[in-house]
Amino acid sequence: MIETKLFGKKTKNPTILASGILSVTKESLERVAFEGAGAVTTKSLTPDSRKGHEGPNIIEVDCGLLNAMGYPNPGIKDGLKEFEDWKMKEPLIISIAGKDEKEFSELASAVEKSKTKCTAIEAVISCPHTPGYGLMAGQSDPESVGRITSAIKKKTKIPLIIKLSPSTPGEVAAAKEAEKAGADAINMGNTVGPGMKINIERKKPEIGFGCGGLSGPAMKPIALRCVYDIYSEVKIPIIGTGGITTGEDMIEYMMAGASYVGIGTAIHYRGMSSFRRISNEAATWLESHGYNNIKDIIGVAHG
Amino acid sequence: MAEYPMITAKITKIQKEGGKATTYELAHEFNAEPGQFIMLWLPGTGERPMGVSDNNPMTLTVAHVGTFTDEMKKLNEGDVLSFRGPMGHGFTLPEKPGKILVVAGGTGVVPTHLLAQKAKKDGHKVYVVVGAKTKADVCYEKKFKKIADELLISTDDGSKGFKGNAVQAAEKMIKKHKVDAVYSCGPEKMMRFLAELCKKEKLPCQLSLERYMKCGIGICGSCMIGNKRVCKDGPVFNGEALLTSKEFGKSKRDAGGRKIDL
Repeated sequence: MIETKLFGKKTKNPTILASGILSVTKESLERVAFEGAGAVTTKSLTPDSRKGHEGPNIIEVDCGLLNAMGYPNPGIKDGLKEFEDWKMKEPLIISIAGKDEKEFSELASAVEKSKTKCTAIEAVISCPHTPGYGLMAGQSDPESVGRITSAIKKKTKIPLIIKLSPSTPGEVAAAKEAEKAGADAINMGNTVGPGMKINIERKKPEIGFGCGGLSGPAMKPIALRCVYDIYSEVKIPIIGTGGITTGEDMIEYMMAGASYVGIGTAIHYRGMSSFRRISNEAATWLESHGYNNIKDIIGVAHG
Repeated sequence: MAEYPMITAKITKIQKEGGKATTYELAHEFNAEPGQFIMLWLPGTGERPMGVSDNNPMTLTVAHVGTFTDEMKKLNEGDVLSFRGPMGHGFTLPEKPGKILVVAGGTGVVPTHLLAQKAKKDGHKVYVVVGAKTKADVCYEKKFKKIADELLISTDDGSKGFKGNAVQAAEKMIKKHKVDAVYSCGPEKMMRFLAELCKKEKLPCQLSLERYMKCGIGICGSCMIGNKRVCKDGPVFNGEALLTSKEFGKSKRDAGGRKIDL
């Protein structure tokens, strides 16, 4: 009913742990897989280690979370070592974040040569709150997306997912450029924003970095619309990410055109078993509506 | 609505403690279970997990060990502190009144003090070991004296109380009082030895751990020990379960997630 395949590899359901959530260590990813995720994504790895921004790093806002982590990670070398010997049957996706196409191609090369076996590489070019990266470096512009995608594809045969932003105009053009340059899938998308919360007692922004990306139900309509529009224009599969908290949210994204769904913030609301619960709810919905294969609903909202 | 809204409260009292630690009392009545923690926010500096030693008035005791806690030295009575919480999974006391041993190392006195208070209120006999390197580092002697059925202070150099480490002192108290359960917070290496002692003595023990934490709400994954989140599944864990961990008392992760020795 909800089994699917990710780049030829069987997965028990279309849910994927979104990058940056509970993905610092291999044992953390193993637990997430055990809790029901169909596939998992590592913390984004950069060429050198980074401490990330000072806290508060994640705060609650109405119907979502604001986060500005700032890519804390041990660097590509130690990061790849951390995820060596991945033995779970759930596909492992390695997330990479570079400052420019040169860094992205070096990171891709390191993954290609590494002993760490992954099903896909996810290149994130859409972080809204880290100087030098993503939106703060204009990486989500269609022309930049094409350049970064080509640079990575030259270095590796591992399937490539490009993670776009739902916050910048031109996301459909960016997806088309990624497809043209050889990307194997689109992840729509990153957090929205950046957004802000001001603590009125302290008269200061509550996020340590000042602003942060918005995730959770508050942003769902935006990322969902982006998935819908991208599905109309590209043929490669789409991972829909943004605010998926229930099985019905997952069905909605898949009707908009997503083949898989990214999940992160739901863990805050429903715990680590969110993956299993969301999948089960989606399966129940499909059954009660006469479907026997989840793939049959992909893109049906386009009628 | 936020599960953990930011709370701001005025500091009513600042007091020096042993080991160059400082105690801050706030004009706030809190609701932490013993062992739960807060994320303390210093605007412009950052956010760190901190224990709570008393709910009314809410009390924190902080060892000045880095830039964040050094920044706290600038605070005066009348200034405010902001925090989110209580967070995490704290200590669980035995259902029936019995005899418990509380072992505190250094500023491990903080969550264990709140525990001792609650245990006493619930009708348990409460025995306490407070361990420190030397006499000047002993914290909470007066506070524990008010609660404990017996308080044993241990110093590594013998400058006060029992000469030896906190685990040796704990062994003495376990034998003397035939306690039913052991609770601890302190240096992790010390707690590993304590867990081994409790295993040998067939005593249940609960230990409070510390890890680098970024979110405090179980999302970011920076505080993992094995496949457990210290902020959400912990910070209090069962000692016997911890002994199966390769990391307990041995290694932790730095801010970037790299494994480092304890």
